[in-house]
Amino acid sequence: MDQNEVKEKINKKDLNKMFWRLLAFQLSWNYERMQNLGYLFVMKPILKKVYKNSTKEEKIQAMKRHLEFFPIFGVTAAMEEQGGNNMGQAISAVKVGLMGPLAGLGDSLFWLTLSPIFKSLGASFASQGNPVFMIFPFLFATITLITKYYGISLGYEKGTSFLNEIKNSDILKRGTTIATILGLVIVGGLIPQMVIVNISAVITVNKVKIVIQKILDGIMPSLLPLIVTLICYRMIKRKKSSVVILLSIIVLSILLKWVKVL
Amino acid sequence: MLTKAVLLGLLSAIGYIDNYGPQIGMSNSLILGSLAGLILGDFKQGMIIAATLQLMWMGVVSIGAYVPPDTITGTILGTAFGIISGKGVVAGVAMAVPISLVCQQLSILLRTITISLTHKADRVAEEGNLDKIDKYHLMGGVIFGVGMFIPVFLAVYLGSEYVEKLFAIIPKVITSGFSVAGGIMPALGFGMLLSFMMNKKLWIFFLLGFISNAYLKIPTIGIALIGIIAAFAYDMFTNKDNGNMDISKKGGLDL
Repeated sequence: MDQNEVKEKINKKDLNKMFWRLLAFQLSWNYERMQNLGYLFVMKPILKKVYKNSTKEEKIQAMKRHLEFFPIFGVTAAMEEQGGNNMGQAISAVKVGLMGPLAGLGDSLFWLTLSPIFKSLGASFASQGNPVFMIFPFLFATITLITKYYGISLGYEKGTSFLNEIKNSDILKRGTTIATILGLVIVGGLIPQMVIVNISAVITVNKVKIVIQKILDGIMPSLLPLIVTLICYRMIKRKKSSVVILLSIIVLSILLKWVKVL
Repeated sequence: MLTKAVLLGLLSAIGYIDNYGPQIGMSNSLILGSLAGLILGDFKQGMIIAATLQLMWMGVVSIGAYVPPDTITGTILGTAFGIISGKGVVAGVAMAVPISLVCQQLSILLRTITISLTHKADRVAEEGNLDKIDKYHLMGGVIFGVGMFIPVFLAVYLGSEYVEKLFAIIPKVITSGFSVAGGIMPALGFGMLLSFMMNKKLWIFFLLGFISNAYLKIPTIGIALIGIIAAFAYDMFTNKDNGNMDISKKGGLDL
């Protein structure tokens, strides 16, 4: 324990260093241990400080620990500072324990809800040839950068209690519901604008031309785009691969165009 | 074409490094496609092709260890060939799909090559040498950057004239079929989104958005505003009794 007494405290500057390094976090992504090397890369300023006066063996132990597998930054920075190698096993356990739930939260809120909202809005402007679309990808990036920046210090200050706090307050659940509703309204509103399916077939009965598309429009505007989207939705729900659906759309479009239905 | 091929290759390298690094939006299909258009002298066409590709690929997100079809090279080359061939969205979709599938394999290969960096880092760790870590980590960026520069550069530099000829021979039935497919593609992205968001309680909000545009013709930003109001109204009503109290009782988060 004696090395702990001469240790310097981790300050704002160190956490900021972590943030800048986090911006290059996944550059060495690999199939064996995913972002392990990236993890050590981000933790380096912390480890340098904590293990400044330590023996070589202790440094080796710390480095090996972080090369294991994957990331949770603020929390492990706090633990390294408090206990260093004495807490080695606990640090590894926290990494594994936090990785699952936190990555899951991040994936569902950021990548499955917010990111698609911004992408759809951007695509809607881009398809009209309006350069305003450029704002949306960068706006989303700004949100993720801010989250990363505050996530590190939040994790460091609150330690593992941070996750419990999130779990106990319903703020995250409410946030996800709000984002989901916003997403559903936007997707619903974009379908008539962005999905284009028109029946060009015309039936002639007793020399009267019946334009099928006109009848469909009479039932409900944008009926076909809605149906096609819901079919895609059903197929995805039934675990059909998106590549298979993609190729089916292409093949069916060619066939139906060929027989002059579309 | 050499300069353009180099620039498009660099765009692919930047897109890749951004995707594995800062994620500041440079790996987004809209940005990549419109910049590819700018390089080829048709910014507007670039963004229109990119919009279709973006929606087509919206459901394609990388989660955990799953490697999706490569949207970065797919978007750059799809947009580039769409413009070079003069066929726009049709050629864009037709080229982007197979290219993204081939480059997916390439990306898996690159992620296997980076295992060697981890093993090098293991050796450095045996010496307790923290300073050498940076070098091996950042080398990953070089591997991904160079690894994705090469295919895009070669495809544009060597492939452009063939793409033009290719689309000249393809029968009209096929190309007009692709044009129809291009219109339907966004349905796949939206379907994918719905599979993440739709649930028994909230589907009515999907209908709200649809009606706002199909019947009332409200434009996109208006719909987003309706969405914000609907979402916060829902939150207010469902958390009227317990929500706010809960947070104050437990201390909440100092965000």
